[in-house]
Amino acid sequence: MKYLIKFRLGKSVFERAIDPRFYIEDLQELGKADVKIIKENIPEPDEEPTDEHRFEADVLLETDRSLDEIKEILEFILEDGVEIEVLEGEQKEKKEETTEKRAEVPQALLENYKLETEEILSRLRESLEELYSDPGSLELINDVFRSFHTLKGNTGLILSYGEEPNLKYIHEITHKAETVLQKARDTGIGLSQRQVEILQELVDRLDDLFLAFSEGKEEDAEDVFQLLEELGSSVEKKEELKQGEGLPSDISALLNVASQYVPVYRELCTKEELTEEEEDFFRRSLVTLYKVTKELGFEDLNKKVKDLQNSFGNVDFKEFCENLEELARDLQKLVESKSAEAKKEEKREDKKAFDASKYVSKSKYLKIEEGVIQDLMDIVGELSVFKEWIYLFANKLQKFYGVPDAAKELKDNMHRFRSLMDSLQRTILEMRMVPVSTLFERFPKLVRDLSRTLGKKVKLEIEGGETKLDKVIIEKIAEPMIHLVRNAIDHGIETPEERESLGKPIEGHIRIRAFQEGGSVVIEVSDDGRGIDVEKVRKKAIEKSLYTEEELSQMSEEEILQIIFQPGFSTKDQATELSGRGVGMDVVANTVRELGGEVSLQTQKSLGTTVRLILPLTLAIRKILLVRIGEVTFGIPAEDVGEVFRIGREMVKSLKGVKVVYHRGRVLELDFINERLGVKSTANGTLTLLIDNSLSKGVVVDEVLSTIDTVVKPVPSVLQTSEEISGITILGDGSIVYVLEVLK
Amino acid sequence: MKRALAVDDSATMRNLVKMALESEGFTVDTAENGQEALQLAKKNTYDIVISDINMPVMDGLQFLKEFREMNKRTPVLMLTTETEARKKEEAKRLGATGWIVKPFKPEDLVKVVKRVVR
Repeated sequence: MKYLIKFRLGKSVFERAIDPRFYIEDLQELGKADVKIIKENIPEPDEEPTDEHRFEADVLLETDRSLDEIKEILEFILEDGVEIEVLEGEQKEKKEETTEKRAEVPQALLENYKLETEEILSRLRESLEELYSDPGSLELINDVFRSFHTLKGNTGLILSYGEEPNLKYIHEITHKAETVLQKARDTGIGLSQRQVEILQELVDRLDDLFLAFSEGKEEDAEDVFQLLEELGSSVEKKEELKQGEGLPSDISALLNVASQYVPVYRELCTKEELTEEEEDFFRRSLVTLYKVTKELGFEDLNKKVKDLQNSFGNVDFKEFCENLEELARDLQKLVESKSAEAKKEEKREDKKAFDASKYVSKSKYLKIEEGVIQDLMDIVGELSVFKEWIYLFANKLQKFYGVPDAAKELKDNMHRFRSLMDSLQRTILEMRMVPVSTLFERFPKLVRDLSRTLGKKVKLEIEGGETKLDKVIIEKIAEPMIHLVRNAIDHGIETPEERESLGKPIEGHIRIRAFQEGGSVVIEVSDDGRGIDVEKVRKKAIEKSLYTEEELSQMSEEEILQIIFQPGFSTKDQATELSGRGVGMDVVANTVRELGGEVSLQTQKSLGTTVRLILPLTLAIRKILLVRIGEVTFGIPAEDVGEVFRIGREMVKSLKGVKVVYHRGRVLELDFINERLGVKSTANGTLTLLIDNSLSKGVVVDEVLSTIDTVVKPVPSVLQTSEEISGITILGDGSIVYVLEVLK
Repeated sequence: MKRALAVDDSATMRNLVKMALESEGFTVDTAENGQEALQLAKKNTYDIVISDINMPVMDGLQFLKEFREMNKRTPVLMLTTETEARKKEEAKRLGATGWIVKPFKPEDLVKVVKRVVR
């Protein structure tokens, strides 16, 4: 092969600290080289490169190397004034790459990689969690982008030593994620919450893959492609949406062009003379502007551009520039007005995004210790008691102190005070609320892991992650939820073979759903598995002597199913033979009840089971049962009450000095709290019993009035006279009610 | 002895560059971002700088721009990825001597470095 390589290098190359002589030396090493230096004026190491500096040489090279190899060597200056002519010899096909040997990755490098990958994954998890609450944050997106980017780069490096299946997946995932994030960042569109969710799932998968890589196992990750697809396609959708709402894309193209041209026009017009390239720029740019303005129907602009085109080169450059300046101003005005529109649009979007993350209690907003919010809540509670006192005082002013004017003024202003207090209280309540997605986000991984170990195929569907719930409740139900999901997979969903023989889809389906219903939040865990066999529950209940056959015969199927929530019904080893739910359902039920919620269960043989947790929105507001004892109204937390039951006084028996009644085959100890509270009961022949959840004691009251949802405040210290009183609450009419926690 | 500066936010990459160049007899300083690199470059004289593009605090291109304002004669190699073709042009415009496409092996790096510094 014979090549003629011409070097015609100028200032721009020297400004990049390139020494062309090195390249000549390199070429000389390839074969027989005849070097003819034409001009050699290379700046000294400490000299500023100028237009005077040039390097020109022709190299005639005879070598067995291919054109591609020579191009590779000259890569950095190839486009900056180097020409290669092939004088002799066929231009060979690119030499087939010698199959690369699998090289050993240096140990230190591998250690480094592992360590850093762990760091990156944990950082990713953190950033994504924040991003979930604030999916529009470009700063966070950039953080996440960088993490993916770094991981991709590092993984590519290890892969360059030889193929490894897990790393190939990691490389693919990070590459795709990076592309999507880059787009989201550069277009300023941000991500959707769903996309963040997918990224979180992908990070889970990366975690799995990385673990498999570290342990030398092989992880199947074909499932990621679907996720990746969804991740990418949703980005496009969102973008389309934005373009549709915002400017038509061709207008933005004009704006783009205009904002690039205008500064260049202005700069060039300050020159005395134009170079050929600069003249060329004028001609080309005007052609583009002409086309675009015509298409968009900006007639005025279009005419101006046309005039300019005609006058260019024909009139004095100065005059041309004056006309050009006019056009530039028009364009700039257009750019400004359009981008102001676009900004408005953006602001609107921002606002939307902000609304969605209004209740975020973590991320960049502010982290507040839970205790502080609780204190705040208590203070507001006391304040509202005080508020009632002021109200009463106003009445007193009017009636007893004889200053009706002052009373009226005070009362008038009380309304404002009241509504301020109410919004203060609401605001503080909101501070405690977080989206249930903070809990749900751990399920995809749990389901994947469990279905893999149990040999089941399970598809998980999550709905309503944005539903908000008191943070304390979310924390408390985490364990029970995991329990329910585990049960659904372990006992609910059948094996793929079993499902196939039943004619069901091979892949089982688990759905976790949250939604608000009135003042409660409902969380459902449903599966399309085998359902719970009522017969077996019945048998087990008898076996465990929880109920007699007779009792059971009186119970509806639904009631029988509820037995599984009772303590002592199931233990681990029986759970599996009992083709349904088992393990610790009583724990689930207890936790939910303690929170003031309810559990219910629906099941249909071979169709599946749904467990519903009905939870209060917040713990700050409680359901209180109002009861009357004598002339006084008291409140009892409804979650403490398992049953309300009326008995005739004659049914009360005395057992070793303790008053008891028999109820449902149990001995209930009675608590006549009126005696302890020093209130005279007015009940005659019939007693009303409030029975606790474990059916072990009953509190005697005269009458149950109603239930209310209310904020229970701690007892102000001046009122702390009896230890039975755990709090106070204020009714709509301003009366104060003592809350008794006597059933706990 | 020749002295090099390796700039990358990834510790893996930083160490790879360090390892590769040290095996060629370079003394290698490292920096995690452009800002750190600039500070080092103000204090010390380097025979070559190798910098990543995508970095927090100050990215590689900004670093290159500011570095070139004070030094025109030290070769700077940028670490890029295939997807960053546009940035390659930008880097050239800002005065990059050359680039190395990630992923690369130590010997690839050494080859390129030898092409620009002797």
